[in-house]
Amino acid sequence: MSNIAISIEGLSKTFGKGEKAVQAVRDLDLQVEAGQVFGFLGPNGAGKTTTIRLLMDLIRPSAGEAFLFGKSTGLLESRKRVGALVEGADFYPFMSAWDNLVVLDRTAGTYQPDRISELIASVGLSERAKQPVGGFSTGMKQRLGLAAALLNDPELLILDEPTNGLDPAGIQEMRGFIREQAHTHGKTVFLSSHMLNEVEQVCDRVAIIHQGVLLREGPVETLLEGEVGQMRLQVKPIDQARQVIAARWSDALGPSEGKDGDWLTLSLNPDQAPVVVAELVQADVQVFQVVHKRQSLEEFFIAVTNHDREGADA
Amino acid sequence: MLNLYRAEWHKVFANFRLTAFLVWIFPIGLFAFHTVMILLSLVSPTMTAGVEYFGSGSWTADSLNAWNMMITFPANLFGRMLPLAFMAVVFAGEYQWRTWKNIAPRTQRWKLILAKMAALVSLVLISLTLMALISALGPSIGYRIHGLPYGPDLEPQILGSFLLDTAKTVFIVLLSLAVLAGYAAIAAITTRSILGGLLVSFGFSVLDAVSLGMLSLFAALFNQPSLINLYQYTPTYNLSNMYSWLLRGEGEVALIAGISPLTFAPGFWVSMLVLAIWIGGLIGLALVIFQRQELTE
Repeated sequence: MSNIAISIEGLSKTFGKGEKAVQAVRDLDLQVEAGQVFGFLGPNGAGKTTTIRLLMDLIRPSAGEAFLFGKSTGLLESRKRVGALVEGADFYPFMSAWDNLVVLDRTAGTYQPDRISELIASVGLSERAKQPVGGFSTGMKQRLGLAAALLNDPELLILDEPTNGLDPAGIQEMRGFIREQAHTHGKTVFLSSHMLNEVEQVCDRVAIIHQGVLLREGPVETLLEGEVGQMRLQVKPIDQARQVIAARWSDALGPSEGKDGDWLTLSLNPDQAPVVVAELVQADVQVFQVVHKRQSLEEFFIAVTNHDREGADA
Repeated sequence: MLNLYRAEWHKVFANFRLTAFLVWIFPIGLFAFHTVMILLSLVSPTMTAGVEYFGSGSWTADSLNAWNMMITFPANLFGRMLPLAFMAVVFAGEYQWRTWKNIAPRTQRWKLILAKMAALVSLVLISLTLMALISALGPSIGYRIHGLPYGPDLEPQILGSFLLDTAKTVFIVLLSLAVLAGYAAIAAITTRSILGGLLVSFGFSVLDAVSLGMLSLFAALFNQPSLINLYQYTPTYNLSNMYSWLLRGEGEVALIAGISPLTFAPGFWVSMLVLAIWIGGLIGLALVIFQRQELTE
């Protein structure tokens, strides 16, 4: 059995032809191992939903191929192992939550009323189960979408912006839900999201896509480790400290901060801290505290996508 | 496939407003009509004649005539509109509600289309069956209230013959609905909208129904009388011709008296072949288009 849940090889997708052609995904290579929680990040229009639609065989690639558990996405047997929530939860508005799930279940060739009851209860919709979905809020529809994605007890769960429309409590619930699916039920989760804080907390690996191109991919820790963090030092006197730092690390020197203006911000790796402190002490500057602030995924994401944007503009 | 059919049935049945307005309106409308006619005939002596006017005096003929609106021109020009609208709306609704993305990955696309067609056709057939029953029952009650003869008597031979004729008629109506399902599916899948699906499928159906008039016009304009014979390749003609062969034992030549009598009528099996090509072609085309379609919504 393949240990790779998703394998994407040279995948490209172009919409339209001629001058109006838009290349949504360009030569994308990606692998997601079974059992991982994989974050798929990118700004609006980056190609995330297009990639997910390609994985679900809703649209066809212009070049390259995608596989689910080693089999082409075009094969029903590969898609039967996947549950997906694609670009918002949309349902038949004139039918109840229960009936919508019955229809989806029967479409897949099964009818499991007990499973439907269990899923409706697990997403907290038991009391509204028999009411038409047309009257549901976006958050309720999202929760019903999750239940729909889990109907076939999939090995791989593909969630496209699952926190859209959820309130903070709902977002926290969703985070718990994703963790539970991965850690308790052993499912692979492929999560596309804008909520970078959430992604950082639940994902083992992330990929950042921008303008259809994969920019970075790897474990969250590894990606952030390789990046320059921020070092903050509480020093006195601040002017002398600035002179010392400017003489050697002028590019890294940030503005003074703090209530008394006695905090210096430096964009330097933490392994430089002893050298910086030694230089300051040698220049009779008192160093009270050194704090290293690791870059967050959000900062990393913005830095990477901005860098790519600037590169493209140049 | 049975589960898929039930899923489609569940959906269309649950869409109560749509089915009430476009499907159940036939039996409900007819029931209301006969009820009003009977009540009026009880209070107004002049309306008694109305009961007789809207019935043929024979329950077998009244029941069989009810199906005619799906088969022969010009009744089919209007009779097919509501079932066609129903089918187009159901197909296009999946685009409007953005629900293809939920169902398409769970099964094979061709199965989705065929299951949807089967569910739609069976629902319309049930509605028409109810209408055929009411078409016989309504006048029967009205005639009997006023002591008018309404036959024939319900004897085994009569009933057997009626059921056989009904089965033959239903077979032709089934073919007619298959053609409509093809029109509706192609129109909705290509336009991806309810309005577009309605307009294009109506366009197909009207062209089919009025093709005789158009061909007559072209024949006169270009002085080519043989152009009229092209009518024998249309679904409408072949449905009429098969119906005529099955019920009257002869082909359909005199389409509308005095307008454009054809010189000959093809045999039953020739018409069956032409219709099979139409139905296979329309449904096959719908399947191919949907199979290749990019579901971006």
